[in-house]
Amino acid sequence: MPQGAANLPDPPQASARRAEFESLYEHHSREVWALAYARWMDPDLALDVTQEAFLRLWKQWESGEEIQNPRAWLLRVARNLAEDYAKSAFRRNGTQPPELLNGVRSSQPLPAELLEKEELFAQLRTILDELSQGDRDVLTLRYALDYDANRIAELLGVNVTAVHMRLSRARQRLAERLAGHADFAPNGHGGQGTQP
Amino acid sequence: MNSNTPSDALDRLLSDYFKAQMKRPWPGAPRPTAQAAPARRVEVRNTTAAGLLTNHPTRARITLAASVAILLGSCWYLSSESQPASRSAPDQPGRTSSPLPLETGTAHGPEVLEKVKEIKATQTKPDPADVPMTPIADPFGKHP
Repeated sequence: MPQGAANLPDPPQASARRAEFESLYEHHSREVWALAYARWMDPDLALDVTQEAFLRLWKQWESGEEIQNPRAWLLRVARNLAEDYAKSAFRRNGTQPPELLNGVRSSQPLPAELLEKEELFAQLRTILDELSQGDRDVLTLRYALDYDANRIAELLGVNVTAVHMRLSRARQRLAERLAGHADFAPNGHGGQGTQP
Repeated sequence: MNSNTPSDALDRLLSDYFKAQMKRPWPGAPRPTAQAAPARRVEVRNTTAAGLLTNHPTRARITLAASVAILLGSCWYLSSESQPASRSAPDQPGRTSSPLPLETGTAHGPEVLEKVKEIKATQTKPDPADVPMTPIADPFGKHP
């Protein structure tokens, strides 16, 4: 970790720091994004939060602050930024309620198959919105980043059993809500057998 | 595990959904402001004549200085040329004499004015209006 960055770094030191910054971004930016996304279910907002968190990390380095665990620091900052967004005036007085967006991102006419998928995604999004944030955290890390239960537990600071339990609960609820769809017809409450 | 079970379908759906939410390609790291700030300019001055002429700011300054010098020189030259040098020195030695006394005279010399009148009287023709009319002889003799 760079130390004493308040002073103007010489070029080799600056390039080394930049390389470390790039490496941290490469390894942890998707995790940061996943947690921000799980908070608001908005991919663009999550990406903004991610970029802002990394910029703040850089500023911390520049001010000479020592950060022992950059990954944990980034995740904490991302969570705080996402929570701050909840308090922002734009969020409170937004021009459109989230349900109007409904997960559909394009006004262009879509082929029937894509349209059906978009509708299914929109339905899924509605159900995900109703889940607790903890459940969404687990689902996002599991399905967006393909993390296993151990890694999710380590990242979220919970035990592995809790991860399995959350995942099972979330999947069960999703299966119940999607039961009307042909592909998710009730065949017992699935999901118990899938262990990440 | 059978891939057609609802559980697998739900897995696929969730995987497709969450992966579709992630940008592809994944955007690169943000550019910190310290890196984005323009680097301090390091100027290597070329002090040779050719270097001065090829250096754009220096050449512009030289051109501006030359233009101002030419402008000031022109103004000085024109103002010095338009001044009547003879006015303040009527009896300057070595100066060629003019036939007109006014060129060497002043407004206070009455003798000069007299001279001017004389010269005018000799040089000017009489005004036709001042010449008395003479009767024209009748060529046909009809009118006495």
